[in-house]
Amino acid sequence: MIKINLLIILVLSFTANAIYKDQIGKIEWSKHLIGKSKTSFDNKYANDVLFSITDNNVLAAINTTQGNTIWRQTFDQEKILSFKQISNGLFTISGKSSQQYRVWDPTSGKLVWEHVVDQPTTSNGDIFIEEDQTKAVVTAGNSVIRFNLADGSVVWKVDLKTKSTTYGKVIVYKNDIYVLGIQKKAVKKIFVARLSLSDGSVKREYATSSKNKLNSKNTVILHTHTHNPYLVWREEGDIIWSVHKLGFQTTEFDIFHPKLLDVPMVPLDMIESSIFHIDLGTKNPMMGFTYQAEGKNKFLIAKLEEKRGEPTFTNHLSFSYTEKAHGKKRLFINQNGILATINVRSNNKAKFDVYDLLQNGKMLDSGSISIPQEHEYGIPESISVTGNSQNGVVSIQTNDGLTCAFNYQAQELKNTELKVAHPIWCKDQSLASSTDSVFVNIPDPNSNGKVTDKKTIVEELYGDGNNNLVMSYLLRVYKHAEDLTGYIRNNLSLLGLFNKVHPHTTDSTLYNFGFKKYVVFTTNYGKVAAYDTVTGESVWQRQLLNKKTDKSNFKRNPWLQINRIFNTRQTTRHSEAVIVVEGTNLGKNTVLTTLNGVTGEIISDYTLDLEYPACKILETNAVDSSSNQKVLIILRCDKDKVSAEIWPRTSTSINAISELENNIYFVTGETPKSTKITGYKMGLFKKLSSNQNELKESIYVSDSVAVWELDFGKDKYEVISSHFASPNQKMASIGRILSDRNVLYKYLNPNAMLVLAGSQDSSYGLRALVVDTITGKVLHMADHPHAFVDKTSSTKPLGLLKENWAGYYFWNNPSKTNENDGLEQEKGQDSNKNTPSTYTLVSLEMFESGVPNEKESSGTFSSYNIQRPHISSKSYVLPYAVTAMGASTTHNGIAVQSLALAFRNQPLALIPLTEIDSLRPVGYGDKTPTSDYLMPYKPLVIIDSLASPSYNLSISGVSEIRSTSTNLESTSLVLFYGLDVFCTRLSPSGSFDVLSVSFSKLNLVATIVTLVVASIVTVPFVRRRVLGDLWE
Amino acid sequence: MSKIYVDLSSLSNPKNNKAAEKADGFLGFDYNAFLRNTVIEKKSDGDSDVFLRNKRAWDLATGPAKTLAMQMFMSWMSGSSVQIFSILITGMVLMTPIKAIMSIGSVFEPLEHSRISGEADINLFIQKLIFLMINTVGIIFGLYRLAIMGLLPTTTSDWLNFALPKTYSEYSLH
Repeated sequence: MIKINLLIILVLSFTANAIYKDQIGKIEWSKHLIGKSKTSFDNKYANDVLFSITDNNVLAAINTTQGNTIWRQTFDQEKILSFKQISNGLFTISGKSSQQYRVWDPTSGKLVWEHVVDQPTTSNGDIFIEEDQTKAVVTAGNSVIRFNLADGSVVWKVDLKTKSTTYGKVIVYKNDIYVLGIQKKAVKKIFVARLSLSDGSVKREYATSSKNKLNSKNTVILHTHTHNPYLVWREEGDIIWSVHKLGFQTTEFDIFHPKLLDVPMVPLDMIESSIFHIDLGTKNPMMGFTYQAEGKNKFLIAKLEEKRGEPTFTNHLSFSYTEKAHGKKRLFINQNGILATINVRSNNKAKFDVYDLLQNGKMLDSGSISIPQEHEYGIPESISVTGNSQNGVVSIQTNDGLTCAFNYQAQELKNTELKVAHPIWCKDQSLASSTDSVFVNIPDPNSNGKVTDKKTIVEELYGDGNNNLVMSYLLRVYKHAEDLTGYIRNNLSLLGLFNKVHPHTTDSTLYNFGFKKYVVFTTNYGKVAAYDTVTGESVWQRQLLNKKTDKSNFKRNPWLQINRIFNTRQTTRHSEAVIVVEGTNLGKNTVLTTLNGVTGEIISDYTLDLEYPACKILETNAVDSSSNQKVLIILRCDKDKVSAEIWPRTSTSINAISELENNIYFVTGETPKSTKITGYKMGLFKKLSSNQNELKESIYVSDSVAVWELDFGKDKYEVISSHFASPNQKMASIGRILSDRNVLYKYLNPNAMLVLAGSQDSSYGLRALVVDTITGKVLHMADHPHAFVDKTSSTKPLGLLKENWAGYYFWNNPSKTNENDGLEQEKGQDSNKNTPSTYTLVSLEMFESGVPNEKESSGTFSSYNIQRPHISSKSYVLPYAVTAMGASTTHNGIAVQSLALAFRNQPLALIPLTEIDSLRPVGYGDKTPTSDYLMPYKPLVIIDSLASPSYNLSISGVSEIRSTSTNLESTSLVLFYGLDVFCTRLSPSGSFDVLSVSFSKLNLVATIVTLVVASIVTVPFVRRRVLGDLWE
Repeated sequence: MSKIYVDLSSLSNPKNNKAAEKADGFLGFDYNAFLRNTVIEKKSDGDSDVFLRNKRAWDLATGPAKTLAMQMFMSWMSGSSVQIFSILITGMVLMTPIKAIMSIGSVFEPLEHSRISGEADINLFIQKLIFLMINTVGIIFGLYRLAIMGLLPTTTSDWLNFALPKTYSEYSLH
């Protein structure tokens, strides 16, 4: 035992995970992403910089000529509500439970100043920069604030008292401020508050007759610094325009279209049209108008003028297109007055036009582009432009997050010829929207990178008995012999002795040790994409489309919404890996798509629209003998019953399932926001029909019976997250050895589930439960009344279950409880006033008994017989907020495992599980069982940033950590993803089975050779000596 | 001319005596008679050969006790952790009494049977028993050393790897 302790101590002394400088980029790779751009705006002060706000809530500055990200700021869950460029930076309003007003330096992305208001925001916010550029008036939530832009000091702040109104637009004209919002009454109307610029006092409040939203395509607020603002709108489905002069309650004009815009239109086209505000720095406000007329898509810019007190519009500029559906996204006007439009022609072909609005709409350039198709990218969707009237860059983004940039140059254009533009760079951001991932083994390059039916000599002699020890040994010898011959042939081929040689492009040790795999991601954009775990290069990508939706009709989401991905077959020598992707089509039905994991080809025999929505898909370990795939069970949840179906729909899979002796259980309602978890027992599978289905096999279904129910709703709780132990985990030992060399037997219940539930009507109060999913028994429960449980923010609680260990993380704020929640926490602070808030990690371990050496006598584990486990737990304090938590996985589970953590705005970290062990002794008087190699308990977990696996890289927005084993026990492949992607090989207990870098194989060989030579050379001497001895 | 060597320093060693007897040219020489007549004079009863052999046997029997005390001290000095030095000492502590017990016959054999003809054989059972007991104590001490060093598989944890994993009667899928 002491030997083992020493070994562990020895091993732990090598657990520094830092990598050497020369290893950078060899064992790990990363992708720094920003996500698909939602809105972009160009930099007024630099020609080739585009600022972008993305679907991942990132504000980034992109160099449009190089394609690189100059800087980025991650806002996590704090939504960016509005942004404006000001003279000394970028002004953003963001927030959720509080309002954040920030100004960023446009060149470095650093924070210039920040003002936080502890009041919630709504979905809107707006910034208005005053004419002298020194002050700005902003609105968010109910607040209106006037800032000094230079230092962020507040001139005044008012809270508009009109309840049930959300404000989202602010305009300053002369000495008045107009704040526009939507009244949340039965009939939602645009509401106007007129405030005094000097002190923010409310002069007047009134509702207009517009029922539109502020950002609706039928509504526009036209304003310039020198012109009274106007609200122009058209009710949905109506063809009459209404114009309202802000500040004048009665001044509303209903204007028929022909009078408003001098464009002949039929009413139907009129309804499809949209309007928006254009700021070209002119004295009079401008309005953009896109519409269809005579089968063509047209765009018009009109100027607003007041004539005899009435608003009139005069046409300023107009274009026309051939494309049918056209929206505001396909048009971009930059701050230099350059307008770029995109006209999508077919799946991946489009045409862009660039106009200079300041030169009366002179066309500068035009080009035909094609989106690279090697990875099945989507269709062009939006455009942005940086540059001036001479030259610049047009960036075109597809609907699945690929951005390609093209140069434009002012030139005399001939109508007849269309220039073909080639992208100067392309960048795929779709990985920032990953929904799930799975690791896939790939074939050995020694078999030419392909699987084969050819049996090896050993297999022919001994069959496929993989469990046979002799067989495994012979296979290994055979493989080594094969490697050796391959190596010799390869080297000799350089001398021209052999002609046919397998191309060994990659180091075969990467395959042999299982480092080289594919990681297959699914994204929000219907993409299934495989990346190499060694290089990070994209191997294949497939877009799973809605079968009934033709790609050419340019629907916004022509793809399946992918929920989960399963690896149903691993690569062996004779078969390639298979993955099954669960997606939802436009009809809300579940579509199962089976792909070859190595090549990405869709296997159409096993791809099917189930024609009903599956509520859950269960993964089993049973293998269907005909397809050689793992069997999946598809659940269909109707109102009163849950039925199940088997996938693949073959009779052989039913045989595989029947081996589980009909003791299959599952739960439903363990998903976020659910208030009730129900446990079911699956009934016997019966044949439903024998014909008329696409797979020419029988469908087997089973009705399940609800066995238990866990209702959180009674206690006003709802599920935040549920965690299961991995079904395929291997563990080295069934007990924990204590310092007195006795054993605490682990409570190894593969059916346990960790549920984190949060208070329904408060931001505080966390309940952690370990539940047996067979019987519904609550094995452990802990309440944390001070835990912050905001379910969507980046400080939401996280959990993890592994073997008999469960860990969960939350932000503990003792000054707040669910009784005195939020802003009104005046009382109840006395006792907890001085207790600091902490990032808490609770580590708990389940044992069969608290008494050493006592174990369940039965060799068969049944949830119906077992007693409650003995729980040992300790709380630890982490120094930073955690955004994702995962555990390393090794081949046989022997190495001491590590907890991988992604911190917010900090490097990634690995913590050995021994450091957060629940058995760490508390002082000398502690009589509870402990292990003597554990350090005495100290709550604070110290993170050595120098030992971070991501060294000095900035890996942001990690929301998921996945791990898989390699063929080396010491080494684990760990993948971090969310916004950025980072993949590395880690040795959580040191690389004890890997020769050190300093190990010289040459010396070893030289020593052996010397010894052999020496023994041969000394043979005659020894003989002579022996003979001499005999003579004596 | 052959040289004759008589190794007088090996008088107490029966092995060398035999060799001397068989040495070239000494076949007719009565070594015992020589000893009786020339070297050893007539002794008193207290100095009789039996008495001396008995005394010598007691010395042999209690000898390990002295070394045992020494070994205990060395063990204590070497500590109970598993290191090369403590392992060597423990090996010595354990192997010395085992070797001694194995060679118990040959140790006492020359004392049981006198080299001098005519002298009676003596019974050294008690001495052998004492010798055995002391060496057994040595072995027990050696085992105790192993135990405190944690090298004896006496606890549950030592057999943990042989414990069979559980089988499960229900399957929960997710």
